[in-house]
This record gives sequence, structure tokens and C-alpha cells, in this order.
Amino acid sequence: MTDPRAFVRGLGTTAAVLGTLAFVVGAPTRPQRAWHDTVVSAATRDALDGCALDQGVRLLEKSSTGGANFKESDPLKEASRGICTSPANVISARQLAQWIRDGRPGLRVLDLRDAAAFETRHIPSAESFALMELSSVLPKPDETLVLYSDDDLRDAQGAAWLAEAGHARVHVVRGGMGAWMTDVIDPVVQGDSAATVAALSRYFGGVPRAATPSADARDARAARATPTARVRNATDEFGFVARRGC
Amino acid sequence: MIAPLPLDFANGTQPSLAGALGVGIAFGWCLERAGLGNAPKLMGQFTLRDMTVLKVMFSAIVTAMLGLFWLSWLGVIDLSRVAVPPTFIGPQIAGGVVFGAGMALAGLCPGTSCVAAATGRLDGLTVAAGFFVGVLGAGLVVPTVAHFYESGSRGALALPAALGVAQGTVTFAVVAGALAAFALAGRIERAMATRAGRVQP
Repeated sequence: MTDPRAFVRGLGTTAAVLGTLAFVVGAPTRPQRAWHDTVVSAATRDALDGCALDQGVRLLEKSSTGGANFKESDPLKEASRGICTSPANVISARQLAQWIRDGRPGLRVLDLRDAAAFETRHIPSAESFALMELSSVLPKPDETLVLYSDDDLRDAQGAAWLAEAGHARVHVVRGGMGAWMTDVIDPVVQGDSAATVAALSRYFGGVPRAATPSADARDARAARATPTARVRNATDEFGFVARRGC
Repeated sequence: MIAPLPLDFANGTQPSLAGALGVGIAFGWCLERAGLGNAPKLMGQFTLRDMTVLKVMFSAIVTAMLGLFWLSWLGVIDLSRVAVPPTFIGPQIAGGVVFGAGMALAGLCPGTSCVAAATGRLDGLTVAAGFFVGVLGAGLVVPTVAHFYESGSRGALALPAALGVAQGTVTFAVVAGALAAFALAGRIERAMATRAGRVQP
């Protein structure tokens, strides 16, 4: 039979040790560490097969904080360019625009930029999410998640996490918000796809420009800045005021 | 939804109610086993002769706090799903004073009065009946004091946010405080027993 006093003393010692460790640990959650584990897992690599995550993973592993400062890390920003180029999981901004316009069933667009950037401008139907809030997105059958941000690294990490969490269809928008503005809102149209791209752009309130050598970009921007010109351009394709892009 | 149990009391579904019943029975059993269904034992806390209430309650607080902290750290519990009742500073101070006065008078609190009643104690039944009458009376009075009742709202405020320190720091401070309180309680009990001419077992 255990001595009750020794048992109580043991409980007290255990509490003291755990309490002291709590002081050392500080926060009761360890999202960055869990995130790092997720990124390097095999399932993640499979989910984003072909996506050049290795470069980002290596940089995360080199980071003394296990990736905690990836937002501020210049090398990681450098690596964000072209980090995810897989055709399997990466879609273009125009592809996303097509999905939104067609009302693709189960489509959910998540904006991983900060709240201020989201308020300023975002892709129609997008929801603002911080990277660490993605854990609250529960997997649903027949749901297609599309992530975008300002850098492809955050997209890739978010997609990796969601794939690890059991989401079957996760895509990232190559180039993020910048690509949306360039390819959907402010596209230069030419060739066989010109009419399609122009129609898609106008649907989202954009002003497509013809790719002529004499086209003056500044004039085009000035014309877009005029409300009457914008409304006229936005309505001439469908006969009603199109949704604004942002 | 209240973590860590998947209970949804707000919607009152049958599984949730069954879960609530189970939690209530377990809580009552623990109180009874700790001897807290006995009014004289609770009154010992006020007279400093028996510090069981302090030990039991502080043990529960420390266990829950360490459990939540480390289970969250291990990824078992999502702390954002743990319900935190809102803070109303003035009304809750007033309520605490009324509650303490009532507990000192009755020798039992709402939970322990139910435990005492369940074990057939007449004082427990009396206090439980008075408790329900008091709840009814308070419900009738609240509209007339609604301005005060709803004043000083601070939302779901927990100590780390209120003090601006890490949760681990608060956890450490509470654990340290509890261990110090346990040691002090033992000394007080022995001193009171010596003064009363009794020998502490």
C-alpha cells in the first residue's frame, strides 16, 4: 500500500514540475512546430506532388524557429517565387475566375493575406483566413478549396496543411492576388483566346486591353479610373452592371 | 460545443443532456468522496479548523489548468473551443459577496447542498430548497437592477489576456500559489488543532 503522504507529495511534485515547464513553454499551443511537422511529412509531399516544396522545407528546417518567422524571412520570400509550379494542384487566376463564374459546386476560396489587404481588395466570394486559422476549416466531401495570397509560399504551406488534414481537393492560385489583377482584372488579350479572356475579365469588372504595340498603358489606366468608362465597359458584354472584381 | 467533451448544451440534444448528467454525477461523487456534503466540514474552512475545501478546490483548479495547458500543447484539445463565461466585474463582485455570505450562513454551496440532499441530509434539502427559491427571487428582481446586472462587461476575459502575460506564466503562478496554499493550510490546521488541544492525525 502506497503511503498517502508520499502519494500526495508525488502529486505536488508533479504539479510543480508541469507548472514550471508551462512557464518555460509559455503558450499552450505549438502551431509552428506542428506546422513544421506537417510540411515535412510524406503525405504532404504526396499531396503536392511535383510542387517544389523541398526548397521551402529546407529553408524552414534551417530556420532556428522552425519556420515561425517565415513571413519575415527574406530567403523564404526569395524562395516563394516559383516554389509551387505543379500543374496538379496549382491553378491560374483565370482558371479560378472561370470556376467562380461557372458557379463550380463546392468551391470555396480562401484569402491568406492579412485582413487589411483583404479589405482593400480580394477575389469575389473569397473568405479571409490567417494561415494558422486553417485548422478550423474542416474537410467536407465535394468541396474544392482554393488558396491564394501575395506569395506562393504561404499558399503552398496552407495547401499542404489542408491536404494533411484530409481535404481531398486543394488548389493554390499561382501568383496569388497579383496574378488575379494582372490576368483577370487588367489582362492583355490577344490570339484565339482574346474574346474569352476579355469576357471573363469584364465579368469581374476588369478592363481588358488589346495587345497592340501602340497601346499606352497609362491611357488605359486613366480610362479605367473614369467611372463612366468603367461602367460602360463592365456592362457591354452582358447588358448589366457586372460584379466588381474587388 | 464545450471542449473537451463534444457537448452542445445550448441545443439540448439528448446525447448532450446525457453527457451533462454523467458530468454532474461524477462531480457530485467527487464532492461527496471529498466530504464536502457535510456542512460542519465546510464550516471548518471559515473557522480555519479544516482546510479541505481549499485543498479540494485548488487541486481541481490546478489539475484542470495543467491538463488543459498540456493537452492543448500536445494537440489533443483545442483551447479555442473551451467555453469561457463572460466577465462582469461589478456584478460578479457583488454576486461573490452574496454567495460567500450565503455559504457562511448555510454551511453549503449550491453544489454541495445538492450532494448533501442526495445523501438524505435535512440541512442539504433545506439549503437546496432555499437555493431554488433564491434563484426564483433573483430572476424576479433582475429586471429592476438590469442596469447594474449588465454593467462592466469585459467579454470572455481570462487571466493571460487581462494581465498581458503568457498562459504558461499564469499556469506556473497558480500552481505555485496552490502548492504554497497547501503547505500553509497544513500549518494552519496543525496550529488550530494544537490550540484546541487536539492532536492532528
